[in-house]
Amino acid sequence: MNDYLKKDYALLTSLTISVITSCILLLLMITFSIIPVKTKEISMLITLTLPTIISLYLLPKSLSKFLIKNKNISIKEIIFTITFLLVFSIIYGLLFLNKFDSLSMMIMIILHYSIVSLGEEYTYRTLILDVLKQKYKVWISIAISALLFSFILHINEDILINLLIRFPIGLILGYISNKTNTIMYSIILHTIYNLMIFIY
Amino acid sequence: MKRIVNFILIITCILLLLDILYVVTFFNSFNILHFLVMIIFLPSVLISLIIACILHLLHVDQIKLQCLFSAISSLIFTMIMYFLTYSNKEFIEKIIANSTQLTQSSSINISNISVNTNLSSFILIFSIVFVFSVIFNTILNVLKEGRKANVY
Repeated sequence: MNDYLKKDYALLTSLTISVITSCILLLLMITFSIIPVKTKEISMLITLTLPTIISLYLLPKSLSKFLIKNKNISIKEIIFTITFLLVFSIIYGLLFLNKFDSLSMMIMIILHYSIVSLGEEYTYRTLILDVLKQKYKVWISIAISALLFSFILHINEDILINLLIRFPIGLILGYISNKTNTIMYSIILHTIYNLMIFIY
Repeated sequence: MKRIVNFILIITCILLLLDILYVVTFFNSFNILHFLVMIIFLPSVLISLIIACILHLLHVDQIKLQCLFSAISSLIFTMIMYFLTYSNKEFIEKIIANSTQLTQSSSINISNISVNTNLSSFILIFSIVFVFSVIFNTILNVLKEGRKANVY
């Protein structure tokens, strides 16, 4: 894609990425739910985690080669994120294990939400935000990416909750990833938020 | 180029008619997956292609006008879908009943499916039609430019 197309179609490209990834996610979830599995953990892995990896990470990752400049994530940041999430998971497990059916289910849920955060952050705070930043000012780009995150990706949720909770969260996470130039911190915050919401 | 667009338009219309025929004939056995593919995604993509072809045949060259035309067409299609879904509650209930028998899996229990007729479902349909019509339109524009370049 040349520069002219990139800039003129920034908003349309972002909307397209958001709609297509959400539709593929929905279709994959329903398609994979037909696969018969015996345990809840494997079922969750196949029907929820696997579609998330495909539609919100692998697909945007392959699209990013044509749309944005590659960002190199340092090993230090990756190690920090994994360590932080591991420590948080242990504390979370110690505090809330009684709220889950089993230890394996709790591990699966933590793993699932970490992957969901990675996927959502990569699609919205790396790919879409960087595409938008090529044409618009940073604040406008963050606002548009937060709007897409709250109203397209979470379209099945209540509109009021999307407006009052997910949109501001999208703004905060967008600001953090833009300021730090990495999505690692927003992945951490997003995972913590998802896991806390799951409990309450 | 006009010939190709006409050909695409005819093929798309035939496919859309076949899809409608399939839905009318087999709607009793439809589950949620059929519903999504045959009633939401496939018609949306086909309608988008028709919109893009019409735009091309009308020689609407300005991007803003193309987007406006796509948005209005998508809105009309979304409203038609809304009235169709709203007036066929029994059909929706049948799909929900079929979906509960979708899997024999012991761990998955599809028992709480509901097809919402609220705003968000129609925002999704609108977005799909709008986005795909813009994509198809861009592809047709690129093809047109390529052919012009070859001629000159």
